[in-house]
Amino acid sequence: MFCSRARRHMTAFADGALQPRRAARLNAHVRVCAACHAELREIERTIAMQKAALQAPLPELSPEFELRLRQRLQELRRSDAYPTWAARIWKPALAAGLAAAGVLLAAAPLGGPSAVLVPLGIAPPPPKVAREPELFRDYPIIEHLDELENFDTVQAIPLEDEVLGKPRGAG
Amino acid sequence: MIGVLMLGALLASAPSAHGRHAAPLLAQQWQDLSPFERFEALRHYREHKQLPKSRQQEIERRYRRWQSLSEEEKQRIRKNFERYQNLTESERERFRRKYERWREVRPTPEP
Repeated sequence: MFCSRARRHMTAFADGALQPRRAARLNAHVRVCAACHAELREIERTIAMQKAALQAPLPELSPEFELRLRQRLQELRRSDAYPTWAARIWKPALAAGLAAAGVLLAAAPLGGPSAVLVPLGIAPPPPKVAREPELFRDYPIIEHLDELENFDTVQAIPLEDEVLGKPRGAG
Repeated sequence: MIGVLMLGALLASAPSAHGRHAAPLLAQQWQDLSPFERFEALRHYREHKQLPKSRQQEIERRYRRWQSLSEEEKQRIRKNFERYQNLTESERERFRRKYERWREVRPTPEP
C-alpha cells in the first residue's frame, strides 16, 4: 500500500470502520512506514480526545440541548472522518457540475454556450452550417483556394528584391 | 453534466482538423464531423459572418469551385495548405506578395 492510500484510510482505520482486508494492509504499511505510523498515532490521539470530550458531562446544559449537541458533534465527526457513499458520489458530481459550468462560462467569449453545446451535438448548428458543413470545416483552405491551387506557380514568381531566384541577403 | 464533461474530453483529445486533412475526407454531413471539426466549423462560420458581403460571396464562389474538384485535386491542395502552414511568417508574407503579383500577370482570371 502506498502512503497516499494509507493516509486516505487512516481515520476510518482509527475509528475501527475500515474493511478487515484493507485494515490489514494498512496495518502492514504503518509497521514499516515511520511517517504513516506517526500520523496514525496522531489521528488516534485526536479521536480519543474527541471521544473523551463527547463522553464528558456538560454541566449547566439542559438535557435536550446536550443531546442535540452530542448528536451534532457525532455527525460532524463522522462526516469529517471519511466520506459516506453519498458524499463520495455527491462531491464528484458537484465538482463535475461546477467544471461543466466553468466550461460553458469559458465558452462565452467564443460565442456563448452554443460554442460548446453545438459541437457536442447537444444543440443544433446554424442552418447554413448544417447545409454546408464542408465549407466551414475546410474554410481556411477554401478561403485561399486560388493561392493554394497555384501554390508552386506563385512560389516561382520572383519579387523585386530577389536576384536569380534568391531573396536579397540570402547569401 | 458528467456526459458533457466526457464529451468535452473527447473534444479536447480529438485529432486536429489539419491532421485529418491528410486523409481522404468522406464526411459530408454535420453529424459525421468530429466534435473538434464541429467546433472549428462553428468558429469559421462566425468569422465568415463578420466579413463584408462581397468577401463572403467570393468565398462561397470558391467553395463551389472546391466542390467541383476531384478528390485527387483536393488532396493536392490540402498538401499545399500544409506546405503553406509550414512557412515562416516572413515566408508567408513573401508568398502573399508573390500571389498579388501573380494575380496581376496571370494568363486567365480566376473563374
